[in-house]
Amino acid sequence: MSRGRDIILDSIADGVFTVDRDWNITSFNRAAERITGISREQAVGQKCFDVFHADVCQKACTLRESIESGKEIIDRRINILNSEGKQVPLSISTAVIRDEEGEAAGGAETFRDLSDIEILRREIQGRYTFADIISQNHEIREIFDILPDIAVSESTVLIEGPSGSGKELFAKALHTLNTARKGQFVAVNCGALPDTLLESELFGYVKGAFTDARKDKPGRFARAEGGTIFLDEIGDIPPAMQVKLLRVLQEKEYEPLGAAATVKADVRVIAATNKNLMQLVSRGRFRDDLYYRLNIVKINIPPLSSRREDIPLLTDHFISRFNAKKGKQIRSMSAQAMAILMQHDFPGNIRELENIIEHAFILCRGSEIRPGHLPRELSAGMDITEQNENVEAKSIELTKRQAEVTMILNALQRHNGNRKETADELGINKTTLWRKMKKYGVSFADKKLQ
Amino acid sequence: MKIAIAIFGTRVSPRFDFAPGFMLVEITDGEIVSRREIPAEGWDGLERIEKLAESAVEAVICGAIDRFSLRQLEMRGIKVYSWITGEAEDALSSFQKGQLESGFMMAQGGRCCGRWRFRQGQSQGQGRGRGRGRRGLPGAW
Repeated sequence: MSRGRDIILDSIADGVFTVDRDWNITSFNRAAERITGISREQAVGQKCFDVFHADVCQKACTLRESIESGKEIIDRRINILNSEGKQVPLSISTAVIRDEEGEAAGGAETFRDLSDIEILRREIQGRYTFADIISQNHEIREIFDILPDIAVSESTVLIEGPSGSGKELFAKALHTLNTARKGQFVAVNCGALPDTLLESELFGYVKGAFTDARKDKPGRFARAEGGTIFLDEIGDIPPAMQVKLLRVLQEKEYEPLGAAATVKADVRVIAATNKNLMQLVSRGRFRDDLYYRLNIVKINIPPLSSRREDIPLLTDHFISRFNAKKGKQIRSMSAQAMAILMQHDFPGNIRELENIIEHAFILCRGSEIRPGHLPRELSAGMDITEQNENVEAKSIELTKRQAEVTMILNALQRHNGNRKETADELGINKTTLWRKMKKYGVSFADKKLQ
Repeated sequence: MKIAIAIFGTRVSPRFDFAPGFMLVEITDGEIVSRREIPAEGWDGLERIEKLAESAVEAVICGAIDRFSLRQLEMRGIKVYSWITGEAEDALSSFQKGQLESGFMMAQGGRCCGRWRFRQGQSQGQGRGRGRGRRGLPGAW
């Protein structure tokens, strides 16, 4: 009977497992293998909690509730850790299994992966956490390590990084990580607002402040009360505003336009810029006292071109996100298409990569993104077309070369440019390392790929 | 040295971030000098890590662990033995003998009776070692 049952269970898109009276898993279908990352052979015979790793296992087991009450439980939201240590949101339903005498003989649990829905929900609510920042790059991982401490410290943070590198995502993660801040996350792009509007946008105005001010309007600082305000492109704000902002940071208070009284502000400020603020200070375009107030903690986000190892990871991430958003089922990017991306410089950083994948989603009708689906200007100048017979060999060569460059760069960074130690780690001769660096034009000082 | 075992009843907790308690064990020259259990209910992710670091723990034994916690523990120089399943006592004696490795399925006396292998990894290997003793099952019914 079990074989017939397995065939039926395997054909179901939802994960299903059953347990006996001692919580030992007795069956585990194919979708369950996919969602948990654990094979049936491993799972069967193990305790369900040792395989399922749900947040509720140790406190409020849904299956136990079902079995004890004899009632079916439907659509309870939980999360599990899969075999990669990643949280997967699930909707689960549980029921009791009875033997011929009507006695409880075990339980059955079905579960549906809600990752796609979760992606969309987060997009709507803008609640991003750590898990949304995707990187293997050592510089970013160093930021990761200090982010929780920065988040709870309440101090002002300055995020520097080129446009499209994800500054807002870091700011949101800082806000979400600080559970003590119950207020909202409010983002303001200072560069996008005309100087005259910026003040009323930030601080609000009171009725009668100017001709059209018919009623009080709270500003963004008021909306972010008890929460976090994110001031993007801070380098663009005019000198008069700089003074007012300095006052908010120092005195924790401000005056809405036309108001007679000051308003207290309990708002955490995170500022970001794609310019070198220190340079603006030395040119007299940015107040140094404001700079030092903002620059209590600084986070530097490197451009995508110096964290190329993240391109495949980010590509996978965007593919699953657009799959969820657009209801498509694209599985991967072909090696040739990936080789083109690996060669690109990404002046627009991660946002540019995102746009490229979105472009490919419009053109791609199959399950794999191929070079022809990428924007034409990317492969311009590169002899890669799908018709080219040598394309496979060439792209493999390109990928290999890229991988080698990345490995060398990473190792150099780990050893602060010490070639002897780098060569030792890579298991090659010091001369070989030097030859390879020369061949690929790698120099540690400027980290640029030729 | 001092180690912490994430516990669930008498077993190794299947999930670090929701483990209801930790067993803190001090080991000198391979002998257990002291042990005590501390409740961890209600500790959030970072709190857990900070409390363990404050207790000068040098190694953590647990079941599954999320990547954030893993990184945070390792950053503080704490060695993590993850994907350990079975009785906490068995994991402890395996650790005392210097045999414990991540992915061990524990059997009586600190023997390893199988290892976790994952589908997403390179090996899709068969699992060895099923079914273990039924003692001390948290909440067997």
